[in-house]
Amino acid sequence: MIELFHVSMRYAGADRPALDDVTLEIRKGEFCLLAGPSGAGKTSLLRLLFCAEAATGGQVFVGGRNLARLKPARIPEVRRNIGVVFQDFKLLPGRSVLDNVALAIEVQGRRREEVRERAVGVLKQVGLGHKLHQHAERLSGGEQQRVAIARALVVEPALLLCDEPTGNLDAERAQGILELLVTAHVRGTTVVVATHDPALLGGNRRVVRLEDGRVVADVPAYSPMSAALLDAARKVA
Amino acid sequence: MSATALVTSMLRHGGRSVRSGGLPFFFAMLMTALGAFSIGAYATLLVNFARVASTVGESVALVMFLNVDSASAADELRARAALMPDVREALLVTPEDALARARRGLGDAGRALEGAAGLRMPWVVEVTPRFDLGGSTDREALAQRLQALPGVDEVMHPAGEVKRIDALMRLLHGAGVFLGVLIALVVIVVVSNATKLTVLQRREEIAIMKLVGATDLFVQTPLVLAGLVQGLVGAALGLGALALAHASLAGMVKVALSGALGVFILAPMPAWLWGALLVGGAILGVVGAALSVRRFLRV
Repeated sequence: MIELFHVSMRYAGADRPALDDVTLEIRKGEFCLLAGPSGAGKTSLLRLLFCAEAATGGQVFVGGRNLARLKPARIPEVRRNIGVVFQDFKLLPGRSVLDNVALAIEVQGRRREEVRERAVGVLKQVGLGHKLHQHAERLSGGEQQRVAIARALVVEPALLLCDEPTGNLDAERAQGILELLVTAHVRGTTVVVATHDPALLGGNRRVVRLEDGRVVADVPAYSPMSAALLDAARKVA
Repeated sequence: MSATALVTSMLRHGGRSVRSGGLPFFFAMLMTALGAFSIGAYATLLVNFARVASTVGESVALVMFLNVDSASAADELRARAALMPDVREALLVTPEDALARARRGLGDAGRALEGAAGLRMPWVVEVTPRFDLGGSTDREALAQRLQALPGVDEVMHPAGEVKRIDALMRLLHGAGVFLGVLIALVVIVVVSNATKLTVLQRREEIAIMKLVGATDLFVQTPLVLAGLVQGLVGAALGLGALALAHASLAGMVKVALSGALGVFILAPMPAWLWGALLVGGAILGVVGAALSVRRFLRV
């Protein structure tokens, strides 16, 4: 699903690269966590995957497409197969919950009835069926995050990218979000989550740890050393 | 994926752009209305001036004095003159009529011509040239062509007044074109800036749309549609105001200007110009919005 070969990326004016010689493969159907401290390169890596940034070196393949060679006009096509959940939600201000979720399929040219049907369906799944017509900005942080997840899932993406999806939430709400991500994963979606939430890292999932833009550890799922232990071990070190 | 659904969706977003346009949108529409009104008012003025000028210009005919003996030869020359493209009308005047006119023209002194044996006037053709809005008829050239016809003795050509009218018409025409271009540029700049403000206002929204896979076309089309509505509604408002102004001024103008020129009725612009201004407003709206979208939509 995702292959990175010696990928590097540097923001204009930055004194060090955001990503430095990253080589990584995430297979179809995997649930992969990107861990690491702030500034480690987790968000940059996600941004590369949905074409918000371009690599300055190396090759990035998503779903068999080489993003380095992708023409700008083809970017929307790639993005339509990827669901993205942003840390700051990125919901449309002044629009209803339903409008926000519907937008993702509307841009694909689906019929209005289908758009509504699917958006309502996925909002019910995330427990917001009763708030369809409320303005998104009037919801709580947890609810806004669920709207963002609903928007990402409504396109039935092959790949779901989440950037700190539980960052601003309490433990109970974070658990609810995690359950939504796990449900999507069980249905066959490849899930990549950038996080430093111990609650997420505690599960038995693959954890790729980044530091200073480099992959410093890659612990597969079902490893005897859990991700949380790995994190704790690194802190001690 | 359905093209119809995509277009419907873009139209819906276009409607939203119009509704959320706010003050910049309203201002751009107002400027377009003002532009359409100004051009329309100027065109109405030009049309009516042209009518007056035509009346004056066409009343000054060129006179061909013929060197022929028969009525048939004179009529043949009249027909040849009438066939010239810049001639509106050619009238044959018989020697008898010409003499009668000369007597009337001389007034009391004309009595001296009565009973004058052997006095013979030539056959005459009065040529009325076309007098169009562009003042394109070159009377001197026409006089030379008439003079060149075999059987024409002399062509009288009262040029002075007509030349001045022609020059004024050309000036008004040139000023009209300049005014039109100037207003078009102003409308493009204003609509473009209104769209730019909309794009800046909705920058975050546009960025989100792109992040969820909207194509450039999907993002741009609603903004360009909003520009189209701006232009179209603005032009319609301007033309509506012009129609109202025309209706309320026509009566006053009729009273003030009727007299020497007969009953003067303030003519409206020709129908095609109303249509052209409406379409022009819409085009300017689209061009203004498209320019802004191209420049400022790189989010």
